[in-house]
Amino acid sequence: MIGSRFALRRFAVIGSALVGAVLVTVMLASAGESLKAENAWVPWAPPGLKVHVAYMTIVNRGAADQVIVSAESADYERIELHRSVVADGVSTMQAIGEVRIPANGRVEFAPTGLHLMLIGPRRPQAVDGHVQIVLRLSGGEEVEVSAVVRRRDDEEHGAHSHH
Amino acid sequence: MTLKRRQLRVVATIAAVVAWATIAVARVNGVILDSPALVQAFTLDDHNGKPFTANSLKGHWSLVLAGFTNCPDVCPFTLANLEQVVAELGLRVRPDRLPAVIFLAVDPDRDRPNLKDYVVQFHPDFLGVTGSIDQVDRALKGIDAVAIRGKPDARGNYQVTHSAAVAVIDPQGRLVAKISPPFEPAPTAQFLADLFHQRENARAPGSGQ
Repeated sequence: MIGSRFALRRFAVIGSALVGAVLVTVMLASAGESLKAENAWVPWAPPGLKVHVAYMTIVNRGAADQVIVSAESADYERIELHRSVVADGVSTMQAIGEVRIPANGRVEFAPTGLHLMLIGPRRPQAVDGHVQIVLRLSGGEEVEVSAVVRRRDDEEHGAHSHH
Repeated sequence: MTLKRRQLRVVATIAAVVAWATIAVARVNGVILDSPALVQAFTLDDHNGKPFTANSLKGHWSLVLAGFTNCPDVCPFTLANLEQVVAELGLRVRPDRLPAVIFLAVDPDRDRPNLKDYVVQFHPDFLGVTGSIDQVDRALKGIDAVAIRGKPDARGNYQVTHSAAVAVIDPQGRLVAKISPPFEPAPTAQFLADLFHQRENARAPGSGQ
């Protein structure tokens, strides 16, 4: 009798833990799934260059704002969120702590604006290869991004594609 | 009544043309200097290890921009656009008037090892030049540009801030104009073609140059 009550309690504890774990997973998945990266690409850079860049459009289909706080990739030592600014005729790059993607909105990471600065490549780039990037959100969720390596003069992704 | 409507249509057409012209002009951000300024003497090396001085700017048009190889965003964007500007210019001017594109690398210690690879990825004729910090700063002054190198962080990384404009140097080695972002290829090429044409006409009759 006593033994079975213990068993029941243990079962309840394990059960609630399981339910909790499932709930957390579902919540993480839903936050992560509402956020998608589209047209992610990394301009090809010659070997030897220690700083690369990634561009993409982040689309938030969820009803809540999402905040990107960091990014990482197994292919690079580290990634920084940056914004290029031209002010008073001078060009500068600013590291930024976070990027907010508004509910049902989108944010462009594009040349001369917001970008992911990829620092310290761990392997050589190849055109048409992919760089796997993980974006971390303020709630701990992750968004996986697969960015294709393209030349800058590629028709779709060239430096100047707004004719 | 009919006349009024016709007048309205004319006014609307003129307004549309003016609006279009304004938009077209707005896409090139170029300034022509009131009086050309001779670029002061400087000594640098190009990415093939050959000397590059103020005299190297003479005899042809040049577009000179400041930048650094650890710049992954703005500098490549500018170089890629300049490649397209020169291609567009090729449709408008004779080949001997096409400008040399010079990338003045302002972060020499980090730039030297990769300067050539960085620059020629945009066009095989683009030329990277650099020198000591003092030499670079002197050359920058000559094209009315600046570079500020930040203090290194714990990892030894530092930011470099530099002039965004491209300097237009005439075949006499004088700074005559500046172009600022976004360097849209077609309007920028037209701006340069007009400038080259105007300067060559101005000094054609008996100017001795």
